[in-house]
Amino acid sequence: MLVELLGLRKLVGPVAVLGLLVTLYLNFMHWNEEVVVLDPIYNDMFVVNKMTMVFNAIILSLAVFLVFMGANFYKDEKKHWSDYLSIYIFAVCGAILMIGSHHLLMTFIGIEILSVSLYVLAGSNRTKVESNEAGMKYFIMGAFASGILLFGMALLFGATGTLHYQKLNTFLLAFNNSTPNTGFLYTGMVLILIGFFFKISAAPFHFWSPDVYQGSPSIVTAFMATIAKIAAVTSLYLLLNQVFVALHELYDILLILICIATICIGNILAIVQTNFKRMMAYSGISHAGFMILGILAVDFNHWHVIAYYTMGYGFANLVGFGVAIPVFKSMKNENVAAFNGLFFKRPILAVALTIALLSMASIPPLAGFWGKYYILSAALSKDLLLIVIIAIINTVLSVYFYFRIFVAMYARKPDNTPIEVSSSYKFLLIILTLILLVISLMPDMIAGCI
Amino acid sequence: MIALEVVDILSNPVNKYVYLSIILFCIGVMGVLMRRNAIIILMCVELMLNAANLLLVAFSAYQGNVEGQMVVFFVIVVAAAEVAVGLALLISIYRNLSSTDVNLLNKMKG
Repeated sequence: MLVELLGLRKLVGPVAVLGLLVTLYLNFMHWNEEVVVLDPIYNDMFVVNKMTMVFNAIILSLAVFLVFMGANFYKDEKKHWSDYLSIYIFAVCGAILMIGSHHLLMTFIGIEILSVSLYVLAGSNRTKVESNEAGMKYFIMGAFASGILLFGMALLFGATGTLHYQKLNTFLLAFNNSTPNTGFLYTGMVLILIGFFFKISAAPFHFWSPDVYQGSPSIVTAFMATIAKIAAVTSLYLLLNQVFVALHELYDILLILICIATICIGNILAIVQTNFKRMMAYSGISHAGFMILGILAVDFNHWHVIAYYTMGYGFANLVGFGVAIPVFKSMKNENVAAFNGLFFKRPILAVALTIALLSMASIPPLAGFWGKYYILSAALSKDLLLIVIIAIINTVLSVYFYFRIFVAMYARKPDNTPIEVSSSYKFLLIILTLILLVISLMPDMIAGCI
Repeated sequence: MIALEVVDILSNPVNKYVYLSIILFCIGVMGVLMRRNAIIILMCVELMLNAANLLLVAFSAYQGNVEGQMVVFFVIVVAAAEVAVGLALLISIYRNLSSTDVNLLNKMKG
């Protein structure tokens, strides 16, 4: 926006990309130090360590590609591009605050920065009723979830007298059933968890997600499916492992039930969808279920398993939406039928989408497979056999609805509408697909590095 | 360790604030779930946030711990931002549909 005030509208995109890349570099400045010792940031409400660096790097690199995709998506409305871009950057800031947060207030503010930006973006297509509807639904559901989360925080504060992660953890470790106010503590914890389940669209709280994904502009859907979901999952993972780990016997059963429900509902409802974005929403719900399984099974020393899964998920989704956006734009239709004969019209796009969806359907040797493999083996070592069986059955089910798109792309006859793609956009998609392949082919190396 | 000595909340004078804010929170939740007018839903969301604020302030004053009051300042700012965005969305809906009834927002199903 600042750049626009100076009348340099063309520069906005490059400046944003440059800024994100510089942030990415600064992020890694302390990488090689054994123990990162920094002055407490914001009164020790924000921490930097290897784990947050890796998750930040995932978020930032996804954001860089989203800016490129957005520059293409908003080609026809150059006038507002800088406004949209600044809101995207705000949302990325919120995501980073959520990940580095070490205090529940900071987590709350991060969530709010991310979600308020997304409410605006979801409703940003003002003349279309669907977009308005998506924005309003997302707003009501998001604000409702924030209210529940905040009330949970208040109860927790009443019971423990602090909201700082480290202090809460110390308190809870010394905690036993004879301590007073256990009711407040448990209710607070459950309310906070419910707030988070809303944000990551886990099963009983997933109703908003398909409508919002369908109605929002496609690029915003891509943002929600990748950055927003990864940030919320990471934040929940850190919260549970840094704060509530002493109470894990209590929340484990809750997480197990929600995990089973999320995986099943996501996959079963995805089968009957005809709209591509809606289908991706349900597939995102089932992936959220796998991430919850990861949260449940992966202990804090093996966080790179979660990082690897989210990385594979994020890039696969980005490639998927990257292909879908120009197709929808040219076909003026967002159904699976829009992909009919894509392979004969635009082979590069079709191949990129194939790789992305194969990864999401977790076909070896792609990233989705390795991510699920790591999470499921962690779950097996924790004796969660039942969930593992359910998860594997659902993975097989999920192959069905991804293959519907392959059938449309390779077996159906193309119509005469040409798909317009600029060569720079094709280049971007090729790079994204290559990144996905690199992640896929070297799971041990990447998981070992981080 | 935490300096706070933990006492049972429900047997203390602060419990009246706790009951009040729980009642307010429940009114807010019921309002969001049952009312169909978007403006009233917005108000109910505010009620939920303010119930939490009241609880935080009460605990904070009771425990002599300013952390809760600090949280409340931030929450007030966040709530204001949220309402601003909510009203903006509402205006764009009103322009398209000439109504604030959320039941009309049913274009997408499945």
